[in-house]
Amino acid sequence: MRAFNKDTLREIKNTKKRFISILLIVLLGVGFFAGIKAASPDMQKTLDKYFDENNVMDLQVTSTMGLTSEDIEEIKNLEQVESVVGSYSKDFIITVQEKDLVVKIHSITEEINKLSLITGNFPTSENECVVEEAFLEETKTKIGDKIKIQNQEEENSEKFLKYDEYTIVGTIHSPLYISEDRGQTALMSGKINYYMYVPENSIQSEVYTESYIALKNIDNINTFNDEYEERVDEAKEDIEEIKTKMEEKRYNDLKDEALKQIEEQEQKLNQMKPYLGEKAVEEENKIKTAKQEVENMEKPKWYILDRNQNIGYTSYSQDSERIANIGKVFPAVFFIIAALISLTTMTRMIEEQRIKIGTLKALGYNKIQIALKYVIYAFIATIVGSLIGTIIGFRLFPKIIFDMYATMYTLPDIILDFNVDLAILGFSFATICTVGATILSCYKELLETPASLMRPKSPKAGKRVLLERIKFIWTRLKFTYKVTIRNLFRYKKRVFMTIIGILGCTALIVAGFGLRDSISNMIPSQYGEIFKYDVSITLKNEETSQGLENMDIANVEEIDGSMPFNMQAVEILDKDNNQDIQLVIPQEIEKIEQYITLKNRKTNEGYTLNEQGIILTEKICNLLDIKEGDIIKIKNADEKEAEVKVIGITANYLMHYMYMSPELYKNIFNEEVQYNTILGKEKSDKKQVEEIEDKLRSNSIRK
Amino acid sequence: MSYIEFKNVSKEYKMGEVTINALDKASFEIEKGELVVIVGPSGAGKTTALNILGGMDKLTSGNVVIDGKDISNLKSKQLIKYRREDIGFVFQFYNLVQNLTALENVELANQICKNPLDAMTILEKVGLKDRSKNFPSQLSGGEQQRVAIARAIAKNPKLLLCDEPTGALDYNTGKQILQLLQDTARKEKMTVIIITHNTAIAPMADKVIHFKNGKAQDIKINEKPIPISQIEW
Ligand SMILES: Nc1ncnc2c1ncn2[C@@H]1O[C@H](COP(=O)(O)OP(=O)(O)O)[C@@H](O)[C@H]1O
Ligand SMILES: [Mg+2]
Repeated sequence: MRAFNKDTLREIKNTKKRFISILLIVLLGVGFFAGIKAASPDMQKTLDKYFDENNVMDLQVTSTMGLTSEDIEEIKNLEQVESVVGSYSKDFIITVQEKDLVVKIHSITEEINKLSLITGNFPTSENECVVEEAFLEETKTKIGDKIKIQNQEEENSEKFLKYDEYTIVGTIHSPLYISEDRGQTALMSGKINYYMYVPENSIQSEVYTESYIALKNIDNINTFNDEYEERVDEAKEDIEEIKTKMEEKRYNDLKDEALKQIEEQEQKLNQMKPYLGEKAVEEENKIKTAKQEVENMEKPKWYILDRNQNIGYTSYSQDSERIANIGKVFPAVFFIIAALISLTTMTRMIEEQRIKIGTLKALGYNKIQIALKYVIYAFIATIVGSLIGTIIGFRLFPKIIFDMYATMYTLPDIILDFNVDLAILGFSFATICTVGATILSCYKELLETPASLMRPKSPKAGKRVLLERIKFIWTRLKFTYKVTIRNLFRYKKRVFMTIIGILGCTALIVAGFGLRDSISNMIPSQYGEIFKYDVSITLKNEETSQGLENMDIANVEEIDGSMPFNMQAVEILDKDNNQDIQLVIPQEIEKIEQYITLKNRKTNEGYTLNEQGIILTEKICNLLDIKEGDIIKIKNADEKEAEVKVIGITANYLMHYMYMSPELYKNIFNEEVQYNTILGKEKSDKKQVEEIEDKLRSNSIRK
Repeated sequence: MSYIEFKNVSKEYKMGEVTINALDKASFEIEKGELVVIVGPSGAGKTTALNILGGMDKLTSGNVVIDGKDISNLKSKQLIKYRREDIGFVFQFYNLVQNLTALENVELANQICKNPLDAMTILEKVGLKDRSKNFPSQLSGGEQQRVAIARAIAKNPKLLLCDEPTGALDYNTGKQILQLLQDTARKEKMTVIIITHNTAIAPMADKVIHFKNGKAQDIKINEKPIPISQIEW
């Protein structure tokens, strides 16, 4: 080997500390960069693989009046569909240890949404069930215990479940519930506590409550990819095409069935008429109203849902996106620090080696050869640092991040990938930083003549600073302070680097805390600052008209005030992506501010609703690029479309909302507002929600 | 025309407001194979002259012609070639590369030359064959300076320039070094220029140039140079 290159390599050996300091900062920078960047794809891949292995549905179809096997057959015939299963689910109240709990009971589907058995075994007979692990833990039950189902008898329909008692034979985990959220129900407090699975043949419903659909050749596409979404949207359109037909068919079948029954009754009545006398009129009226009811029967409605309607899936998806966003800015700080440390280290090294550089120049080595010496030095540190950094980063950070989320999700272990693209990208950034810093710190020396390089560098001339003119301060300063202040201005580069270094570290710390705060403050901000109500009462559809009067809210002493609202899901029709959003209509627009704050986040200026337009929450406007004054197209729950003007963009931290005045709703949709929700405020801060709940429940039941 | 012509060379250093004339129209001539000693008080411009001669510094005005080639206005690339091919430099503080052994230090210089001499042979000539694998920190000052001379000679240069080569050495070691330089000049027929502020050694040279205030004030030719071993000071 050439003596010149030997020197370069021995330089590393003889200046280990210096070399290692560059190596370590590169390791840190690349490790952070690659690790944090890899976390999101690793998280997504983990879920994707889990969903593939358990063959989780790509689409789900439910209907307000259930799905027949004919419906299922029709879906199965669609080109994109690989398999379809009909499935049942219903919410029940069960009593364990004298406590009432709401459970959602699903039928076990073999093909789609496969369950993972954790302990025990799957049901072998019809009156057996499997539950989630937490159920056993929290209810202090064990395998072999029996569970009593409470609300089996419903008004007129027959029993949904064949048995009133089920024996627990195992614990499972369902891929439909990866988060802790078990969904909403009309029963009890409105929250489902646990899910539970029973064999399909222990359910005796005539129609399926939903159907799960798996699409063809879609397992190799990551569920978080755009391509997946495209495929699902295509399939959705196909289903959309048969939707109306099948809705119509179901409607007609039900109607015919009902009419046939009424006709039979009518015939019977006609035969009996002579013997009935007075009573006949009464019966005739009954038949008339029955006919009327059939005529007024609502049409069934299909809902086509995809994975995005699964709460666990969406929140996981959002969390992984949040991590991806952190990865966008956070690691940059480390690279800046890496560049700075390289700059300081290399500058010092080159300053120390002026005579050597001069000697090499005197011997006849050129600028590029000499520069390469230092570039190679930094580059080797960068290669080694990047390699170790990526190896550690890819293992450590995704795991740490995933483990933080692991308490919130039930998922298999994370899949840790060595992401070559990220590794190369991180290595490139690090190289730019270190090599750039090296060139920056040596190019000035390389331009000097050998003669001047070999002459000891005269220290920079001390300068007088402005402060010296202010005599009464300067004369009071101690000598060491005077020197420090002068040096501050004398070595501007060093001061500059120190300032940037401290700035970078401070930024990191602040960013870290900021991140923590922005995540943990979101919920308090939303429910303290934006949503000021304490109770929200959702009325069942049938109740909306009279339910309001029946609800004796004013008489509940803990409640300070309340107002009816209409809340419904509407869609914003955008060029390329339609967005579902919650529409909120207050009964009295002047009073909304008692329950919900509408204000500009930056100026804190309040908004008031009027007939001119709607108010949207901030994030949705960012997503769809909507500005104040824009006209947007919306579609309400009854599929009516209308155009409205955006008159305000309001602060909001969780989810998306649209606020509208009842007058505007009437104007654009030509229909009355159905108030289906009551928001109320508590008198004290005691959070007596449960007491209020009990009182309301007994009140409304009494009425 | 002489081998080396240093004609009216001036060198100015601008330090803020003040201008220092390190060389002020200095002129001298040197013949091929001569051993030249430059003497003069500190600050007289000796080092500046030698640096300009060695292509290590730029002059402000004047001309320097070596072997028929004017080096005063060379482009940076040609200047590097000139330093690499034609010049051997010996510094007061040796300037060896600390990471390299004695042999490697010599190789560092001769590996980039066109007609280098064998590194090991040269080391043998300067009497350091046994120390070839030693690092500079394992050698004494005199030994280090001998490595430095070996490094300069191994390039097989036209000019061997030595700036106070004994400045950091004791009397006896210094003498040995000067002996080595004198022998080299004689045996290899190399043109050697030695700077010293010790006027006592002047008799060893073929030519003695006195510097004062940036000028070559006095140039003397020694018809009979005396071997260094016979000079005492
Ligand atoms: N880079 C420089 N900047 C300013 N002045 C210099 C520089 N190099 C040399 N000088 C000045 O030039 C003069 C001649 O210096 P030098 O050639 O080193 O003298 P000598 O080697 O004879 O002692 C001195 O006065 C010295 O201070
Ligand atoms: Mg000098």
